[in-house]
Amino acid sequence: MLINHTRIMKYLLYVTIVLSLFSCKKETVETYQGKDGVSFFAYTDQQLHTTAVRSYSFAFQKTVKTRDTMYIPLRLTGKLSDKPRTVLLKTAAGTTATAGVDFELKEVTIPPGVYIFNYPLVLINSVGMASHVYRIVLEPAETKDFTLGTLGQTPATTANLRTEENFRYLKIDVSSMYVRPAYWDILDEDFGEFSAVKYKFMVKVLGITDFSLDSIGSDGLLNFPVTLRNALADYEAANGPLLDENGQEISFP
Amino acid sequence: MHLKHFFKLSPVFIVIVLAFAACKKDNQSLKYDQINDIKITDATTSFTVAQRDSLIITPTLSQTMPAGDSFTYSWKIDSNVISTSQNLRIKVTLSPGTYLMTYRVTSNRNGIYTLKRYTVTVTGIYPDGWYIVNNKDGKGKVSLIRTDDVFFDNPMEVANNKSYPGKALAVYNFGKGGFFYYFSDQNVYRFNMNDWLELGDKSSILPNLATPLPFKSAPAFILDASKFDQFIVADGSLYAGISGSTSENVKPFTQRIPGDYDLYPGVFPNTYDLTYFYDNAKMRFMRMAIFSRILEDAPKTTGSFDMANVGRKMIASDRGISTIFEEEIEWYFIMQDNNGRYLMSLTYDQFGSTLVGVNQQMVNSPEIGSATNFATSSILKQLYYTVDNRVYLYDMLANSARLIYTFPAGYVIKDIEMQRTTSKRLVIGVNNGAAGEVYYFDINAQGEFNNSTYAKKFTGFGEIVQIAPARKNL
Repeated sequence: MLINHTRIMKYLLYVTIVLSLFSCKKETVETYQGKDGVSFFAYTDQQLHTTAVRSYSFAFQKTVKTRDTMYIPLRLTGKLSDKPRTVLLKTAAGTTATAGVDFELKEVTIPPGVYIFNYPLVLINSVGMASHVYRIVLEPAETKDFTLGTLGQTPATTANLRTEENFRYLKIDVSSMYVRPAYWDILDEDFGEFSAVKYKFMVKVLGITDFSLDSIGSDGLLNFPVTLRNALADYEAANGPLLDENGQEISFP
Repeated sequence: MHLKHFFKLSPVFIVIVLAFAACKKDNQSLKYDQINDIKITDATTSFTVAQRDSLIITPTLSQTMPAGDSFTYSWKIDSNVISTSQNLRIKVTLSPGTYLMTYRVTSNRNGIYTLKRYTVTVTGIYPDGWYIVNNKDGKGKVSLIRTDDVFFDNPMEVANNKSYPGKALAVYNFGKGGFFYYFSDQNVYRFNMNDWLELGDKSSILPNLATPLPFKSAPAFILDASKFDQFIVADGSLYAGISGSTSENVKPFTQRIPGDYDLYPGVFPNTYDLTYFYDNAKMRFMRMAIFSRILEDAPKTTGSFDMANVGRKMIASDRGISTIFEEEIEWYFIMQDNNGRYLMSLTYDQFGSTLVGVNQQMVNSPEIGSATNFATSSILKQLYYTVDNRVYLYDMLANSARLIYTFPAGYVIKDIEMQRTTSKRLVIGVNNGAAGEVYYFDINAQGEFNNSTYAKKFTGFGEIVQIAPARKNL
């Protein structure tokens, strides 16, 4: 028994020595393999993510336009590329606008090395928009370079201070009527209820057409109503009350 | 059998062979040279220097073998080399703050180096003190008496290498911010409080004015208690803007806040979200909530007086006590009607809500009807008022005043300010004709001036318009 035990130990030693020569092996690091993705992108505080509706009206532009471009932020996921790639959006269920009549979607080339990109959506000032609000529901389309990207929320970090939303569907209402813009939700408290007459008065007094918070800033949100109240008082002193399209007297809170 | 023994003993052979292979005779001969041991033996390693002043450090180096050695020097803050001299002599251009500085001495003989770390605190060149707004030869300026009593005649012109035309009206700073406003009869400017570099003028500060500057009278400026709103009252009108504690947060002011009012030139932050104003036309308080731009009537109050219907004209104001973070502040007011002058106040309760305070006619107070300047104590129920060259101390509880100091004949007191952090020093600006002088009076436990005279005196100013603490606006 003793002899057998010694022999076993001895063979084990040989096996260990031999195995130790082959014990280490360089292993390749696993990397992501797959098609890169694309999704809509917005910061959470912009309130433009999947449940929101962006809006555009040709009536709100400084000059009369037959076409205009709305830029839609997209986020690319996967590996950065040192070559140009193409991205395309397509319409989804719920779209009432007509491609080629009210808007155009084209395959667009993304420059090398970018991971956030503004897709140019061409809007056309169609005849129907004078009396209708059309909705465009967009989603990323499969291309040779991209599939649908990662969805969900990207939490804020020390490097990226704002929480981000990556989402699949984007709703856009487009018209050439004076329709209440989606961003007016934020303006309600300081500017009061939307009306076409009020909007035109604001454009005339302040000289701008975009009153979204991104455009006017926090000081505009507080300061512009003061300017408008003063201007309205001057108007009323000269002309009497300013009535909106529904016969209601215009006021700024 | 032999083979069996060989295999049995083979592990022993392997170990022995490996042991022989592992050891090798080392024939190197080690030589030991004495090196020059360098030490930096400074006892002082912390320095405080004002911006744009010179920072001079002459380190003491000790060496054990100085002969034949030479050195390379470097002084670094972060990764920036600021000097390569043995002694540091630089003009400090860093922003105010505390910096770690590393001094490195490297032997050119053998590359061995020694390090020393210093702490450098850079203060603003004009960190604290008293602003003296004065006019000389028809031109306004703001002089500064720094806390170390160093006097700067016209820092804004020196710092910006330009002239600021027009007569001075007023200067106001932020409670905890880094900058201040200077109002002249031609413009309004914002300056960095530390270095007095100009940050903007009326085009960026008040771009929305319906009527152009200048203001006809000295405006008042203050932040609200939250520090998120800022207000200017000028020529009876109110202007509001978003504020913050740094210049990056500050936004332009509004146009005149609409309404039928004529405000006393004062702003009274009382609670975290409510700031009061006083309408001298309708003789009532008004108020504005945080981030509101609606100037509304103050609600009716019961108690010592009705804020919605005071019925007196406001003559002067100053602050009383406050909570530790100044989110609630007490204010005293001098009011006037046909029967005389009154001391009134707004204060706050334990829940941070507004309360009306004292309301008493000021009696047994000589010349109170002619008083032009008022300053309250934040630790005693006392206030100081002046008439021409005379200073009176008014006791709120006793409701009486007494004369405590008289400047020489011909002197006229223009402004008085309490050093709010302690309420232990009253600063008085007087004019002797067109020549201004500033006096510091230290206050004893009874509220009187120590030794019945001033502690310090500064001369050489033009005609004084206003004095203001450099660091404390509220």
